[in-house]
Amino acid sequence: MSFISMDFALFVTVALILYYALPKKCQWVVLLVASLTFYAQTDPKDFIYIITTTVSTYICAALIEDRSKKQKLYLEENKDTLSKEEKKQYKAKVKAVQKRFLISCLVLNIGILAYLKYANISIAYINLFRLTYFNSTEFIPFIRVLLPLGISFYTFQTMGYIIDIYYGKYERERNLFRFALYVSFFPQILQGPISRFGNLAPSLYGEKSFDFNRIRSGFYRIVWGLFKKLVIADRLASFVSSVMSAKESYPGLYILLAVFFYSMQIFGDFSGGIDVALGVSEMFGVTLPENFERPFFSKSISEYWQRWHITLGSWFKDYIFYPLSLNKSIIRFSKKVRQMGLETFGKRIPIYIPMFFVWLLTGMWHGSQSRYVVWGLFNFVFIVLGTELEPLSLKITTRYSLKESSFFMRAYRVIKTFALMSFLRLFDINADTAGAFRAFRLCFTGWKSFDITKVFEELSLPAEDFYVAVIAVILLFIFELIQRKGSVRVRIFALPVAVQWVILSALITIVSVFGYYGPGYDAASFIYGAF
Amino acid sequence: MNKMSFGKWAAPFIVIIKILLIIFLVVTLNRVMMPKYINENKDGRITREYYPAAKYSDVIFVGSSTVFSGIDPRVVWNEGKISSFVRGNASQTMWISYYMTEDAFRWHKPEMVCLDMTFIKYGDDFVEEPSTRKSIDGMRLSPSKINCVNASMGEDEKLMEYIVPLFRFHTRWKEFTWDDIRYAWYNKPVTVNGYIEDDECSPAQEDELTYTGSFGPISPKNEQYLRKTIELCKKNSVQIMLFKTPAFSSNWSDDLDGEIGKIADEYDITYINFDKYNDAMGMDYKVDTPDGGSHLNNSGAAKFSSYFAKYLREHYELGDNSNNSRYIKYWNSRQ
Repeated sequence: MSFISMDFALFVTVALILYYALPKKCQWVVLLVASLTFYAQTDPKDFIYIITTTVSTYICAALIEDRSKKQKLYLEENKDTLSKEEKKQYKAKVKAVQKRFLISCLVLNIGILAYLKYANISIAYINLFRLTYFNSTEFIPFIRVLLPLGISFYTFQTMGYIIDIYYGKYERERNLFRFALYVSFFPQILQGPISRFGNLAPSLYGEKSFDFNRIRSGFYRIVWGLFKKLVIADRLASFVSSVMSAKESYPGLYILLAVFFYSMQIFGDFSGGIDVALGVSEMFGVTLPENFERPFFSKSISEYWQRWHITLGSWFKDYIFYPLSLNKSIIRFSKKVRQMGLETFGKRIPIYIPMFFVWLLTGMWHGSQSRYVVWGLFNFVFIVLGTELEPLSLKITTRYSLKESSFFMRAYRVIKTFALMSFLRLFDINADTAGAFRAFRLCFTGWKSFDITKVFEELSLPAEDFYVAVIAVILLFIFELIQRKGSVRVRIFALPVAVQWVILSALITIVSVFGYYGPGYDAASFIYGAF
Repeated sequence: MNKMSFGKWAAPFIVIIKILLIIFLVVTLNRVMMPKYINENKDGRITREYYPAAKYSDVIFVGSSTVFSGIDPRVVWNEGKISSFVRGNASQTMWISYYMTEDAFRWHKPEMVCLDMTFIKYGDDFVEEPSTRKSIDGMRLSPSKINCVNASMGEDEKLMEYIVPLFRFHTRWKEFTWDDIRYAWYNKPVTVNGYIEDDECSPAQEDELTYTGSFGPISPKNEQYLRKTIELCKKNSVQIMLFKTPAFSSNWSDDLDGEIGKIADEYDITYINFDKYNDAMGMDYKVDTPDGGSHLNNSGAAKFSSYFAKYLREHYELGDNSNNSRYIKYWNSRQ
């Protein structure tokens, strides 16, 4: 069931009525039933994976917490008889057992994800290797399996949960069904955001009274999400795909335009979907974390990644980057390098090695093809270059008396970051790495054949659609500018009711009339829904 | 300044008002974005124009384009003092005709239904979205409409797009004109009780009418809905007859006549193929048709309507409203 369908609207309406009509203590049950119903709309066979992840994580969390409690009890009972050393040994023993449970859980669930996501691409590489080096045409058959809905999101969410339980950040959820709700909560299962149990649990399980303002606020957010998805993303999608599918036949300017449009498309698509998820969730009184914070206003790539897909970035930071930074081997290696006289380089090691793995894994998370790994590593290289060249950049700005805080410099950095990130998206748009490099080269060729009078004839985007797309992007830009000074919805709700209605009516009209949906259009499904 | 505050009791009403405002907005958008059918494709107005005229629709003529071009209710009133309405649309299938009849009964139980058979010759898989749209979009929301949509729509169509036509017609913003706003709430009739006037003349090429079509047997869905329509009328004690509008087209077969006749006999009702009465009506397909004989033009419709009105008056028990001032006033306004 797509977020962009009347079925989904009806589904949410019925769920909301039941949610607020039934006794408050049943509210989480309504959400669980709704989530399972939503999940069952795809392939019921997918249930096996989500159930395995839910049950295995639940059991491992119980075993880990059980050991902690037993340890506490044992140490309490024997505090007078045990020596400090014995206590230490006992703790280490318990920790080792807990670690075994943690690793079993991680291996099982990441194994499922890896198997489903990478088995076929691995088979393809093995077959290619055997054909190339052994001339063997006995190919290993591909496995017939489709990636279950939201597997990347719920796997990361549960892995975060089990690691947090292991480190004793919070108590585990004792009710299996309530835990199942945390894993399968329907607004976020399709494309995130990736929530942390500690943050989500209070609003997910808490009892809520009907609040019209909350419904209204969620509704506004949903409509705004639909605007981004239907008016901008899907409209630009047809242009981007037609240019990229025949890039050799277009002047470079069109390809360049497609590259920038793709950035807007994927932002509209992903953040629009997240807006719908957060809006629906808000209607149920459940607070999901924000996933975007005006990424196109970033002045560097590292800042961009703190503003784009925030929950994935913070997941990697907390569960990959920090543990690796504090890893004893890496710290020892860093020390050794510093002792060798390479002070600056040595200091960077506990940052760059974990960062390398973070970007490698981020690339792999986005897709099984090698182009995603290349994309991830390019991000890593650009971030490292950005950091290392910062002193040089400062020198230049000082030399020419340019103020970093000036509008010109800020605009330059924002545009540079946007351009770099857009070019990196070439790995996303093109089917392979070579295609991405070819597209990059083509951006700067054939400009002479550009004829402004034939623009709309050559583009497969009708002129009217182009104008609508441009106006919608400008509207989005204005919205993002206003948002810098606080929530736009809060500002709208402070306006007179009549003005609020004019704004809402205009938004509904724009989405329903100019939206790229219905017969004659092939509205793309959410790009991040495939992860 | 303090914000105006309402008592707690007012909250539900305010929510209802807000919901109504959103519904009003969506209805307005529907009206604006839908094709208007004012200056062309006027048959797209027929269905919606029935409702204000329902109480004067003692006889309804149901069928496809041959009906809305062949029966002029003004002539039927003038010649037979029968107050009628044509519920016919282009390419109206038997299943749409059934739901048109059912829908009509919801508003006003007529004395008689005259069901045209011309379109029964096509198969069960007949789907023509623009025609289906023109037939159904004007229908007021009811179980009949929903069932009609479900029975008629093609594979790529969705029920919701018929309930909220904006989802189908929003793409019209590219061809938007001021007429779309001007006629958004336009309710004046552009047809004459479902009859579309046509002055054009394009003579038939042949001199003699012979059927060369290889139609029949009647497809299961067509037969099912034909029977349903007859049974609906019987159940509601409404008289019904089956007929084929006269035409000078070879696209028909005697087998179809035979089959329809059998079904009519089964229910003890009449079936008339008016092709056989061309001479009696004085039909001249050199002047009475706008398209070589497939349909009738104004002069053809006048001849057929007059003949049909007299036939109905003679053979069926239809009330006489010739002295009813309300009817007289109504029909004077329609002349």
